[in-house]
Amino acid sequence: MVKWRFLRLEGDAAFNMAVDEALLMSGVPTLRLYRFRPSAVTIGYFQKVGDSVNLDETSRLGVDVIRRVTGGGSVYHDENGEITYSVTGPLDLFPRNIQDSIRYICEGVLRAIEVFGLKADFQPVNDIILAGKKISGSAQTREGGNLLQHGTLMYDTDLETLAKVLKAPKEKLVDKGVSSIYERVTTLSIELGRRVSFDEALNSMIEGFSLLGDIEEGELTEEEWKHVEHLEEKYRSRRWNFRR
Amino acid sequence: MMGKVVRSREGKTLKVEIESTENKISKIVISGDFMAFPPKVIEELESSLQGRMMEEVEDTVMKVLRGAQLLGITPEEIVGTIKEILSSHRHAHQRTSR
Repeated sequence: MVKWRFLRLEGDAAFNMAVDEALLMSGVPTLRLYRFRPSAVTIGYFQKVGDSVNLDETSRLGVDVIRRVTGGGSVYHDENGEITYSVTGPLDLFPRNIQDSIRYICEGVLRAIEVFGLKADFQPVNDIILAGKKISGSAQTREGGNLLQHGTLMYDTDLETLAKVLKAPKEKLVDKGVSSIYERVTTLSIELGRRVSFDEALNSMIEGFSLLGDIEEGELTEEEWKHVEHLEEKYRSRRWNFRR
Repeated sequence: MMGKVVRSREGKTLKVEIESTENKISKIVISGDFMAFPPKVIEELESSLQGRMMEEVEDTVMKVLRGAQLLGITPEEIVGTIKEILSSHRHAHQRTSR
């Protein structure tokens, strides 16, 4: 049976993305749960910064903006209301079909939401929907025989700030038949009618992702730390973050 | 650059921006919230499309994307969007040359 390493490493956006990419490179089966400190917006590998992020607002609010190594859309990672997961490992641990593997890993988030007595659904390509609204998004990439999937769970995200820092393309709003971001996004706190804490969200994610198998606390290897240091430079560079 | 944003039937947003001279693509940027495997295939596609005319777009896109996988958009939507932009470039050019 595969042993999964559990990491609770967290930092700012560049550090977080450097760790995830280092994990992708090493391919050691790993579940990582973390926050962005300070809050940050991450954008998909193929997105244009100017199309996805309100840069005046992020700069005014001191919110980091960073490009991920994975595709998908822009995400607001609220330091006080969002938990991020990453799952990495060799491809043979996951369904070969990309869409199936996204769904398989998202099952961890669905089960975490179930811990709160709520029933959410996976919506292809990469969303989790609760009460008709998005509560989680995920993105995946594959490189060198390994897979990285990371994603969010909004437990108490400040949706007002989210609406200010993210630009939703008007085509998306029209397509979804809604006029504002508030009508298409929700949090555990909103759905439960009480404030959900980070520890509750963390524990539910640990429980949800126990579907992977045996998970034991661990640390980065020395080689992975070296990669993190090197990759942090990339993620702190304008050249990477503003390449599109 | 002339651009067009489409909402894919696969669920994601595709944006294509093109600069063209003499009916040839001189610069193209393909962006959006889709996923591509391997990711570098989109950059390969952008560079392969440079210098191409409308008639060559479909073959080029299909050739570069062979063996790759897109999630959230389709190769056909990329082809269609590029052709629409190039066609409106042509019409704009014809109008100004009259």
